[in-house]
Amino acid sequence: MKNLSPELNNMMWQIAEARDEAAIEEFVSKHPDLRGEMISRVNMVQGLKGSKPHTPKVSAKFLPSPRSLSRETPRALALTVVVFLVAAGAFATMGVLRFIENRNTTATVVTPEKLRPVSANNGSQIEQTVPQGRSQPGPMPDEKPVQPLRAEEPFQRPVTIVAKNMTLDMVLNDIAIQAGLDLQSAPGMPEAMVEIDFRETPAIQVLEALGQTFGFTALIQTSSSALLIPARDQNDPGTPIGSGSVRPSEPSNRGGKLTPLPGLNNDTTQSR
Amino acid sequence: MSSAYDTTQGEHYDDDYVLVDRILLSDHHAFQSLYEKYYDRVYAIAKGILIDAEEAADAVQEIFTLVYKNLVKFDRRSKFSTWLFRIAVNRSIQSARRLKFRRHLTPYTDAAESVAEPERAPEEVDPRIGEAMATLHPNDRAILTLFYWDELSLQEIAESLGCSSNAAKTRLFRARERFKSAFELLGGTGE
Repeated sequence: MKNLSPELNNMMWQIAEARDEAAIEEFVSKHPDLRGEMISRVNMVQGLKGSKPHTPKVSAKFLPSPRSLSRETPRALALTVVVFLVAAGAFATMGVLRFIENRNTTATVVTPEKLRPVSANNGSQIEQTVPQGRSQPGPMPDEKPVQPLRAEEPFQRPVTIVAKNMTLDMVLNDIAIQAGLDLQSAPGMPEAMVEIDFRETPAIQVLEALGQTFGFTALIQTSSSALLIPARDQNDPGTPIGSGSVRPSEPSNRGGKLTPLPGLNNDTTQSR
Repeated sequence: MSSAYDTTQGEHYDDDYVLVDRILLSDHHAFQSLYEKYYDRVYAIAKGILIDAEEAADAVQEIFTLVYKNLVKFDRRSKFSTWLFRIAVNRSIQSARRLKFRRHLTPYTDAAESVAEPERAPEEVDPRIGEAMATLHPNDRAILTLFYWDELSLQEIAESLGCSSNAAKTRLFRARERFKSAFELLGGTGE
């Protein structure tokens, strides 16, 4: 199309829309170069007006559109989605919290690669051993699982207990408080009076010394709990305490001594 | 006379106000009268914007349902027909946007054929007119439809589109130029 001035362009549209034959002829006579353009516009306008649709038969009665009447549906759907998202969020949050809680409580679960105490000389030192030729980790049927112990675990926390004429129950309670342990006493635990002198000694070693002296065994349940049963394995030579053995009559700064005093036996289960 | 009837005596007195008042008094026959009176023009608007005849027929039902539900909100600042056409334009443009994706999947020639089926097309109409219309934006189709099919004045178009007369004039001019370009691209010279 040629570049037309806005006024001329507008006039051509007006003439085309009016469909006034005289006006068209007059315009074409004045602007013979725009004859084609004028005819084009006249036909275009005629085509536009003529393309008005033939309306289909009007429905005998007005029927409200279900699409419009169901405008509430998207709102209800949105509400449902929001409720679902809130529920999913709450579920996910609870799941995460549960996971964190489980991770904290199962921090010392026996791993496929078993951990063994290396040497009797130092109870806090551990060794990681992986059985040769085993693709699937896990305990062998004839092997006795060993509870892993780490230096930072409550049983390795050093405790200091120096007392005379103290009941065994109170001593165990003191150990539990200092090391942050949960010690459960099985029925039949002795209730003897104790003279004890342990300084900065791992709690497990103090428990072992007490067990050897008073005839009970501390069975570790979790990283921070143990069950005390009033029995000893006759074949168990006992775990060395500290640098050697316990000498009840000779107190020392490192390690300690125990002196059993006359006491009572009681068949009650206690928890510290 | 009720206050509703008093409002009909204002500056924009409209015969349709009486029907509106009757509808508001639960006279369902009055709505049927409005429906029959304006069905053609509303259908023309919907068809011009939506192209597809079936979609247009559905849109007309939606438009009248909206009018029925919102009639109580009609404030009589304009003629009832202007208010109705405004709803028709807005609703049809919304529907056109919703159908945009579907239309992308359907070549216009197919759509034009399917549109032509349910109604009798005028024999002398150049099919490229419809094709050129289909290439335009729904807003352009709306203003061309109001102007050429419903033969509204620029003032009425302005009220229907919610703009000033000058804006309506400018929009009509631009829509017409775009239509002309599309028509010429399709080989339509009119000669």
